[in-house]
Amino acid sequence: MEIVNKVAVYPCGGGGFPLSSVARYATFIVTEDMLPGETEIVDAARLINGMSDEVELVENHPTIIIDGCAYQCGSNLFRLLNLKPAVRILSTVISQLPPTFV
Amino acid sequence: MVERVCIYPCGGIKKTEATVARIAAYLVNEDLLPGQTMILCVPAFLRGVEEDLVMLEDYPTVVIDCHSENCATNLLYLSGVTPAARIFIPEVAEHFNISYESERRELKPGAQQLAQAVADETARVAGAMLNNKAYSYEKQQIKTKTYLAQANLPVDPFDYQKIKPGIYRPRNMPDFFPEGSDD
Repeated sequence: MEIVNKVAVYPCGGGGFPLSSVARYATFIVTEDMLPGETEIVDAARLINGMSDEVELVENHPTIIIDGCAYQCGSNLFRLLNLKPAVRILSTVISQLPPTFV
Repeated sequence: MVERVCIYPCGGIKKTEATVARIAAYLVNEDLLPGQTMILCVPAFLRGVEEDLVMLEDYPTVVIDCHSENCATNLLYLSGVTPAARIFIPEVAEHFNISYESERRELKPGAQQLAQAVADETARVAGAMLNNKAYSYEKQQIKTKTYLAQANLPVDPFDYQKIKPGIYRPRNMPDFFPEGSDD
């Protein structure tokens, strides 16, 4: 077991709901203001296209997923790629919806 | 002539141009061509959300690539769908001589100007598809390829033809600008 020196943060990459913008903005705050150099944003577009630095980021570091809406597309992308996130953040607005929807 | 056009802005986050692409798509969808355009949400598309699958299959798609990595173009390639046109942000910036800041969280004035220019070019292309009676679009079927994140993509999967600075069309897709127009 290795000491973690960097954490990847993957915010919802969507564009249809305001909460996806909230997820992105929160990620900028974490990676640029709160934990610069210790966190890095996962770029879903680059990851899907197999950019080696992006693939290495999620393979070698724990990832926090910020799901933007109840579709949970952030979590789903990791499922498609057969990766497990270290943790998932679900906004309060979404988490208060009925469990069947969430 | 088509009823609506799908806009697919680069879904990235690491580059300023990715934010420019997203803001440009909102400008087209909300201000320039409201009710005539739709924005593709890539995570929803990958999850199989019906409306995102339908908009990609049934309507022509204008992709907005923010960088030569061509992530937007390549996602469509991985999906087995050919875009109707492509807007390439670096060329739009060069053509209109726009220099912009590196801030990506919120766009500064230069990048905001670039977003407007990209939106204008995107609306010009989408508007041609919407208004040119000679333009036709054949529905496509998504055939997702199975090698997500495998980095074995061709350099130019659609054999793009340059139409104007920053505006491209796949070789086997129909012209959208009316014949004889200034565009």
